[in-house]
Order: sequence, then structure tokens, then C-alpha cells
Amino acid sequence: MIGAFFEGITQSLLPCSWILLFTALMVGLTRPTARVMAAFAAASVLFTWLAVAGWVVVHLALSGLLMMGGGILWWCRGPSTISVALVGAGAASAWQPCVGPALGTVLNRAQIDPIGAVPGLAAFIVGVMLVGLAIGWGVAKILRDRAPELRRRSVGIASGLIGLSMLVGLYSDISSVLVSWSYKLWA
Amino acid sequence: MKMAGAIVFSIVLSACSAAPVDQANETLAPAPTPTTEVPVATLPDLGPPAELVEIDGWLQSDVTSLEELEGKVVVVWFWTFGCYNCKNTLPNLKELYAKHEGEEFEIVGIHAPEFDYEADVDNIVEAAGELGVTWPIVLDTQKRTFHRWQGPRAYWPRTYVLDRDGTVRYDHIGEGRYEELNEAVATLLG
Repeated sequence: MIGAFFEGITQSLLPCSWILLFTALMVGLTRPTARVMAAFAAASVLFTWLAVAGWVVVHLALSGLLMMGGGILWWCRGPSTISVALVGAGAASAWQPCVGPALGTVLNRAQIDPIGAVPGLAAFIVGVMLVGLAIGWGVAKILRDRAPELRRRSVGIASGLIGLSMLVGLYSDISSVLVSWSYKLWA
Repeated sequence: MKMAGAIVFSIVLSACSAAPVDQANETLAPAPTPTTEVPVATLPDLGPPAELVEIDGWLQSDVTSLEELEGKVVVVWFWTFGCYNCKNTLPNLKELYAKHEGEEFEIVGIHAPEFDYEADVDNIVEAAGELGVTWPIVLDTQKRTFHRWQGPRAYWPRTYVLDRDGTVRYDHIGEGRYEELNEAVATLLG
């Protein structure tokens, strides 16, 4: 499990993980309470696990609805446990992973023992999210917590727009553009 | 923040206190190298493979279906050229391909793009050249085959091995377990 946790950290910056990283970054940007962060992590782990275990088939449009709902709530009322849980659930259910050795072990196990795969999967997701949360918190700190209202609304709008892109079938195109930009940035 | 810290701490703690059996399965270390060949009977019969659905053609091959490869042991490898973890599996696959050259063995890479630029055939050809992928490639641009084989939640990379009758005998998600894959191929080749 410790391997899955560290693999989550190292895989967090790969294009495959962008949706998880980005949502964690948005949550971190608003410097939420511990309870809100726990709700975000719990919803993300739960929805990833349900999908991995094959017990729930979440269509991308439903992921979009979850993210849009979360985004709207976030925009109106800030990062509450419900809004971040919806955003986390939407992102987790839309996530299509590239698989390293430790996550591979977890996913192979999930095929025959879904319950036994929970700790490893949770460790991986928390690993990815820690990076996003840390970046978000770091950016908020650099901004010295200026314009909290603007940050809050921006995050709500971003979540809502990602959700909308999933609903209308533009998610793949937006992902491609973001990944292309990130490649150019690194190059 | 305290709660987040507590979550991370409990994960680390439970990792340290996990049962040895679990630890053995979940470390980053590769699987131990078997000293003897795996008997064919120990490889499970996972049934017939799914079909290649709505593919956009084959590259680097005269073959146009998996049925044409019956009689050979075939590694079916789901990948996309931008996938970091797929690239990590390449050294072993290249070694395996070279080792069994001239035998009744083939690798088929089913290219299922994650992002739009990975769907461009010119980019795939270029990437295959750069990465040294010399085996047949199936273009699964719409990812219909990707999902037909793996279901709604599908992964890159995923490796299957088909025996000479075309039956799936091995299935692995992600990187790693290379010795296991190599042994399965060697066993099926007999």
C-alpha cells in the first residue's frame, strides 16, 4: 500500500491523472477545512473504487452532471462538504488511469477481491491528491489569501465548465488541449 | 488540516502493519523469477477473446484479424504512445519479441488513444518508429475494442496472452510482473 501511495505522488503529474490533480488543486486553492478535504478524498476514493470493482458504470455524462452540480454549489456557497464531494465523485468517475506497477497490483487484485483492493486504491488516490492540494495551497499562500471570493467563484466556474464539457462531449478535446499545452510547457 | 494529516498518517501506519501476504503482493519489486517453467495446466482458461470492434486498420502487418494468428501464441497489448506506463513495458516486450523471433509467436499492439493527438495515424507511425515498436499495430481510434475487451473502466497498459487456439490464458493490468508474462509465453510455446 505504501508503494501505491508513493506511486500516486509520482503519477500525479502525468497527463492521465490530470482530472484528479486539477480538481485537488482547485480544492487546495480555496484552502478548505479538514472536514471538506476529507469529504473530497472520501468521495473520490469511493467512486473510483465502485468503478474499478465494476459495480457501478458511470457514464461520462453523469460524471459531468456531478461536476456541474458541485461547481454550481461551490460558486454559490463555497467549498462545502457536499460541493467538493460532488466534484471529487465526478472527477474520480471520469478518470481513465494509466497504470504503474503498484496500482497494477491493486487493480489486478480488485478483479478478484474488490474489498481487499480498497486500501491500495485509497492510498494511490490520496497520493495523487496530496500533490494537487499542496500546489493549490501553495498558490493560495503565494497570493497571500487575496481575493478569496474571486478564487471561490473561479473554482466553481472551472468545475462547472469541466462538467459541462463532459456533458456535451467536449471533454476529450479540452483534455487534449491541456495535455498539449503541458507538453509544450515542459519542452 | 489535522484530519488530512491523520488520514495520511493512518495510511502509512496501516502500510507498515499490513499482513506479509498483502505486502508481498503490493510492493514495487518485480515478481520473483520462477526457477522452473510454469506448467501449461496452471495457466487459467480465461475464455475466448473479445472481437476487434470498429478498428481503423492495421499497421506494420499483412494480417487483418486475430483469427489469422491462430496457431501462434499472441501477446495482445493495449497501449497508447503518450502513456508513460506503456513505454515502461516496452523493454521487456522488445526482449520477448527478439527472444522468440522465428517461433510461432506474435505481439499485437492495440493502439487506443487517450487524447486526440494520439489518434493521428502519422503521429502513431512516428511514435512507433521512435519507440521501436516493430510488431503489428491495430488502430482502435474510437476505443471500441479497448472497451469491448476490458469493459467500461479500461486501462493502459493491459496485456493478454492468447494460446495457439486463440484462448486467453493470461491477463495483467499495468506495468510489472514481466517474468510472469515471459514464463506464460514460454510455457504456451512449449
